Amino acid sequence: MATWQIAVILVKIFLIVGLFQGAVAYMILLERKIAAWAQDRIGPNRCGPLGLLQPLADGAKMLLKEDVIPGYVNKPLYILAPAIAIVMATIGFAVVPFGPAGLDAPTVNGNPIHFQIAPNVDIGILYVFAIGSLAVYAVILGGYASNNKYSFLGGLRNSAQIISYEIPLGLSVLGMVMLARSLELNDVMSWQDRNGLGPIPAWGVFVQPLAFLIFLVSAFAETNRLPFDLAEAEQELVGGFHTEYSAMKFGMFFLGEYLHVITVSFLTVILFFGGWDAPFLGVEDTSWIAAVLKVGVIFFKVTLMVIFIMWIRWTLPRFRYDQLMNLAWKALIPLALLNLVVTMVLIQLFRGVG
Amino acid sequence: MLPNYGFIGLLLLAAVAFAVAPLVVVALVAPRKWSVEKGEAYECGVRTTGETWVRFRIQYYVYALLFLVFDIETIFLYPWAVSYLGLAEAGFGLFVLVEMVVFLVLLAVALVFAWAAGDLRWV
Amino acid sequence: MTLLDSRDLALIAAIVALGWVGIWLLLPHRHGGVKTARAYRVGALLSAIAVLLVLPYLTPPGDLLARLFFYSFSLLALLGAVLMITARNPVNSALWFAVVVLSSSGLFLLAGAQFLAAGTVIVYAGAIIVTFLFVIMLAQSHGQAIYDRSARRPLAASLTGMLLLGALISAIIAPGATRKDGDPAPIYSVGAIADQPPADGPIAAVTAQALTETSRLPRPLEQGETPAHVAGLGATLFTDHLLTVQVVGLLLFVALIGAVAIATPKAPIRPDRSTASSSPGSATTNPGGVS
Repeated sequence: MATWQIAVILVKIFLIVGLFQGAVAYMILLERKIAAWAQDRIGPNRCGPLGLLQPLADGAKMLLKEDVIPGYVNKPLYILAPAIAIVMATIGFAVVPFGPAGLDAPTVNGNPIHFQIAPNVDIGILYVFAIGSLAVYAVILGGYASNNKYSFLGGLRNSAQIISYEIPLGLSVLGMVMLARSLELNDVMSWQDRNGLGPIPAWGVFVQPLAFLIFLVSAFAETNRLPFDLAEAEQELVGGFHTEYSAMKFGMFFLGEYLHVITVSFLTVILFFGGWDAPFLGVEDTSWIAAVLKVGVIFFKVTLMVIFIMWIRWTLPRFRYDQLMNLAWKALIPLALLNLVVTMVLIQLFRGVG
Repeated sequence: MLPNYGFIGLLLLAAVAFAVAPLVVVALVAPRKWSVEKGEAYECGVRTTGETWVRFRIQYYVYALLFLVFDIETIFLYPWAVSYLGLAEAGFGLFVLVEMVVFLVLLAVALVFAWAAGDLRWV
Repeated sequence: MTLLDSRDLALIAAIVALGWVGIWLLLPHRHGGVKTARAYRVGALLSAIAVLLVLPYLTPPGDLLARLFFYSFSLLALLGAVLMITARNPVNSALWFAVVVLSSSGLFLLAGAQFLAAGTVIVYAGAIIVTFLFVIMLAQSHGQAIYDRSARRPLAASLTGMLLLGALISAIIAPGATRKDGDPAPIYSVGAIADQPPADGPIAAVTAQALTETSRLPRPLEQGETPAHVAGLGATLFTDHLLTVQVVGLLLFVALIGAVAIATPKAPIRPDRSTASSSPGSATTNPGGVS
């Protein structure tokens, strides 16, 4: 591997990690502003114009507060849990393209520059799910190590919720995988760009509408966002699995959750909204102007998705726990299986029985 | 192939650094004033009684087992989904379709069985 | 005919003996009693030597970086395994198991088996160990039980385990363990089946292939050849290994029925039901609390 390749990858890693940590800080501000708007309040407005310096103040507060570790916790696991949360949230992003990657990557002196940290990883989506299935450790360990009843029950609830919704999440993307014949996310994007009927693009949301709904609902549950935030139902369980966490360790759980929201938004946009696909952009444009436009389009769509997720929070009430489990096992999983069978039969019919 | 996973390894290093750095900074700058009350388990101000390990519903366990089975099923579906169109072009379309439908129906029957047995009811 | 030379035999015997004593010392006491710190230190030293002695039997991949990763993953997996067996707290045990699984996945990646690596992480680390943790929390209603703090038959168990390990190493390094050139080559792809003349039609071709032996080791990669991708794996799995896949489906079906059978909640026995029904006005509380 040449030196310049390592330089490029380091630049990508620092750009992405730094950008997303900054984005998370401003997402929290955005969330508070949206909350204020939904509740007819003003929201944070003391730090800088329009409260734009609020994230800095929040960050300083997290770092400067006393880091209390209660006396009865299992200390190694107690410290490990938030670290797992943030590490898994960060490395889950490795295979997610944030611009043109693979075939349509722009080139420098004939060498393609992929807008993806780890390009050409065959197992793409599967990698994201593998990392996602490891993220449940943070919840279980946080709940277990805190030695607190609220944490324990919150951790149990949350982990049962996460594993239940992993199944419909995994089943719902299979339709798009079947059509694109690849687990790589950039292949899924270029498939959506290359197909389609005239002006209507073959976005996942049109091709697989049921799968899109299942994916969206499961993704909300995976990120523990309202209406699925039963683990931290304040009225019952205080903070859920992170009741005993304070200062920066709490902040790390928080950061992990928002990074998760970003990853999920990227996945939704890539799988079901065409990623960088726009009417004026195609997979065959490999110029740098097209690449910049594609990055712009994908970030625009992701921003809309993030705002949608925050908006939902103030629109729907919280589920009851039995409703939550019933939704996963009695509605989403059977529907996902049905969607799968219908999709494969339709594919077989459209290409002629052979 | 290995370099691509090496990139993930580099990202992992960066992620670990991002997890450790704030803890180090906190250990250096944050004040530390220990008191007995701070060390207690939080229970809304009331002194905690009894064991933390309260008994919880066996349903969690049932769902974990169900999840296990369906997770393995999903893993089998991925290579199938990737190769489906290719196999169909090679003339095996109907064959692998029927094969997978049989595979899925078995699981669906099992799910219906669990449903009928009342395992999916949160009592 | 001797399969192994005396040097290998001596080394394997040393691994078995050192591992036996080391792990026996590291394991909890038979009746949950306390062991001295020196016993643990000696045990850790002996086990570490045994683990290091295993390393020469591993065949590392090509270049320096891959070799570095290979040895770190292997060491991590072996140490994780020792710690998993000897940990007192079952939760720690489960976490060390997760370390073993993750480092094995790293080894799979180095061998080019990406799908297997991801599948192992999802199924083992993401599902099986999570189920273990649930069960541990379910069972631990009163702190650590005596059966968690004691080992049942530490001496016999560690000897059996190490003997199995020795047998495994011998079997792997013994000559003749890998396929020879003269053996019939298994079929690896759909294309190869299509080239076969006799059977008429694709379905007959596949069933003919599926009924033959499907458990042969894959052939080694040729120079410059990339390993099969996920699509290739799917093609092989769902045509050549048709019966295997269906048997797996059946196995999962049986497993689910079994899980339902052992864990179906019975109607709760409430001793106070008669009194509660006799006085309908009294408020009924849920004794279990939130969960």
